[in-house]
Parts: sequence; structure tokens; C-alpha cells
Amino acid sequence: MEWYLPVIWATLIGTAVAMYVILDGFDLGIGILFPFAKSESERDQMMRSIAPFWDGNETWLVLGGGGLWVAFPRAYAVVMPAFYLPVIVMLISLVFRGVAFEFRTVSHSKTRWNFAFVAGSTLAAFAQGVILGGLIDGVPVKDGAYAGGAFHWATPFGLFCGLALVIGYALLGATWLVMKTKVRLPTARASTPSFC
Amino acid sequence: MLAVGARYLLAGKHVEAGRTMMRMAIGLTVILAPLQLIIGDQHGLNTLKHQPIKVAAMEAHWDGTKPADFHIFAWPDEKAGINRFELSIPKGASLILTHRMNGLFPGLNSVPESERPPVKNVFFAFRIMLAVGFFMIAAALLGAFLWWRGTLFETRWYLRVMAQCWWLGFVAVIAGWVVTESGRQPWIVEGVLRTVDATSPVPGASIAGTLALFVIVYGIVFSMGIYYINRLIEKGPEGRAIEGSEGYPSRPLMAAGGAASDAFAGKR
Repeated sequence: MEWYLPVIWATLIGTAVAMYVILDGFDLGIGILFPFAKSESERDQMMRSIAPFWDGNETWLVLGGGGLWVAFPRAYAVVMPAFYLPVIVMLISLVFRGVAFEFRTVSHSKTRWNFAFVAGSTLAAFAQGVILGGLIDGVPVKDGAYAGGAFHWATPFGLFCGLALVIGYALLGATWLVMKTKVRLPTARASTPSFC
Repeated sequence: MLAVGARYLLAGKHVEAGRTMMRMAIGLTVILAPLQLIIGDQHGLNTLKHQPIKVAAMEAHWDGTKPADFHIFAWPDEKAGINRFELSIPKGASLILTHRMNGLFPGLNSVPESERPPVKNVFFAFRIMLAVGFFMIAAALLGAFLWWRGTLFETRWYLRVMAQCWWLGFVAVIAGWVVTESGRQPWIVEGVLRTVDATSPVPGASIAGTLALFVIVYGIVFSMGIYYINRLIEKGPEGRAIEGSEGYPSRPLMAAGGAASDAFAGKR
């Protein structure tokens, strides 16, 4: 293989992941901050501020994952079994928060879909942090295949990374709200970053 | 669309919209459903070329040295390698797949038992798909005939049957998936890599747990989806489908006043 192909692909995947973290980070952050809104109309406004963007943002995740699969199948074959459970939890969480966008506006009682949105956003962020932590920690590999158990990622460091990413995304979400909304929201929300 | 239109006409509400919906749906289906049959035929020939054993399982065709009958019903006995309780059109499958009465194509017996897919799954799923497809063609032709006679909107039994048919397309799609995915077993890459050799080192318990999770999640999401769609249909094409102040950024927001409009002005 030409030497530059892996370099190009590594750059591409790196860009996709970075774009994903920044872009989907802020709309996951909105979900994480959702319970702290004071009223239902604030929540409506928060959700509307990301409604046109969130699914486009998630496409970067598809590019990152698909790119890893196509360009570096060996790494993919190790990483996916190693983080099977967090990855599935992340996907299911994203499903719940995705449908919350649609169903929340048509349901009579918003409480249930508010919960789906908050839980989905938070869990997805947490799972991503856990995956990152596990990758930094290292993955046992034997004969080119993953050689650990189903819960190898569940270390204090990994869980801490999950928590840190939730807080980081909340910070991103708060900055987004400051940038995109006016009147009451900024004053209520502007103090959030300093707590993080 | 046909089902919802028929439902409106039966209930006697949104009559004009219901009629338009039925005309559109029948007009489309009467062209597309038979077209599907032609595409399906071509697709079948293609599959026969690349995955002959899948086709043999679809038709429960065991002995490739004889022309194949088309089984309307049969109970494939995978141990004995024969069909029980056959109800068949003689040489029908040969005609469909080779376009000749006495055409031959490989049977299941041409490969060892370890290289055959689960015949019953493939066979029955394919029957279900076919039945739905032919039902759709018949329904479309019948609808077009009634339309031509000018009695489409008065033929209440037709409306009543059509109003209950909204789920048939989903069944056909899923049955088709079952055919294609179980029909290619035991190979994940035909003739090259067996599915059993391609599995990831993930414990079975993880798979079972997440599968159950997916079933639960999809159960919730789809039943809520059907519930909301049904409510939307109840409400009808008139009036606003979505109530309240929520909606999409292009819509002026009453509750939030100018603030939200300003907020969105920066993005659009």
C-alpha cells in the first residue's frame, strides 16, 4: 500500500471525530442541560435551537466509524468487540434522543420525552467518554483479536472519562445557548460554565 | 395512502382528500406493483447466477436433475431432503427461473447438508413475500377496474379491506430480509467465508442482552410512532397536525416573542 493512504485516512478520521465531538457535543450538551431549564418554554427554545443541526452533526460519527471500518479494518475488529456494550448503549441512547425531537412536539405529555431526551443525551455522552477512556487505558489484544472480557472498559479511569465528557459536553451546550439565545436564557445559563 | 384514504371514505370524513388519496395510491400501485414483479423476476435470475442454493431453498427445490415445480405450499423436510404435503404447479419454478418449461437449475441436493441454508425459513418467508406482492397487484388492478367503472368510492367491501392493509408492505419487506439473510447461510461471503468463522470475539451473553434491548427499544419507539401517526391520521389533512408553540425554526414563535426569532435569524 502507498504510504500516504493511511496518513490521509488517519487525518480524515481524526477530522471526523474532532468535528463530531465539537458539533454533536453541543447538542448532546443541550440534552444534558435540559433538566436545569426553568420552564417548558425554555426547554422548547433550547430544543429548537439545535433542531435543524443535530442529525447533521451525528453524520460525523458515521463517517468516523465507517472510515475506521473501511480504512483500518484490523483496528475496527479489535475496537468494536472491546467496546461492544458501550457502543450499543450509545446507539440506543441516540435512538431515544433522536425520536424525542420528533415525538416531543406531538405528544400531550412532554415529561416522558423530556426524560428520553435527557437520559439519551447523557448516556450517549457517558458511553463515548467510557470508550475514550478505555482506548487510552489500552485494550488487550492476542493474535490480532480482542482478548478481554465484556466489561474490560469498566475501570475507574474509564468511568471518570465518561463523567468528564458529560460535563464537557454540558459546557459546550451552555456556550451554544449563550451564543444562540437572548433575553432570559443567557442570564440563567451563563453561570453554568463557571460551575463546570 | 390507500388504507388511510379508504378509512376516511368509510368514516365519511375528509371525503375529498380521501378520494384524491385513493386515486393517487391506485394509480401508482397499478403501475408499480406489476413493475415490481418484473424487477423481482430479473432479481431472481441474478440470484440464481450468483447464489443458486439460495434460490433452491426459496423454491424448496431438491433434485436439480429434473425440472422444478412451483410449490404453492409444501413442508420441506430437511432431514429427508424432500417436501411433504406438496401443492404444486408442475414445472412452474423452471418456467419462472429459466423461462423454459424443462429448464434445469441446481437443487439443494447438489451441495452437502452443511452448506444449505435453513430451508423452511427461506421457503416460507419467500412465500409470504410473494403472497403480499400478488395481493397488492390484485388489489391495485381491482381498484383500477372499480375506478374505471366509476364505483370505486361506493364499493364498501373494497374500502373496508383496503383500510386494513396498511401494514402489508412492512411484512413483505421484512419477509424479504429473512429470505436474503437466512438464504445466504452458512456463508457470509458466498463460497469464501463461513458466518461461523466471521464472528467477533463478543460473548454470547452480551449479544443476547443487547438483542433484547433492541427489541424493547424498537417495540417502544415503533408502538409510540404508530400511536402518533394514528392520531395524526385521526386529525386529518385539514388543520395543523402539530399543536402548540413548538415546531421548527422557520415558524414564527408566539410564546417566545421576538427573542427566538432573533436567535434563529442568525442561523437561517
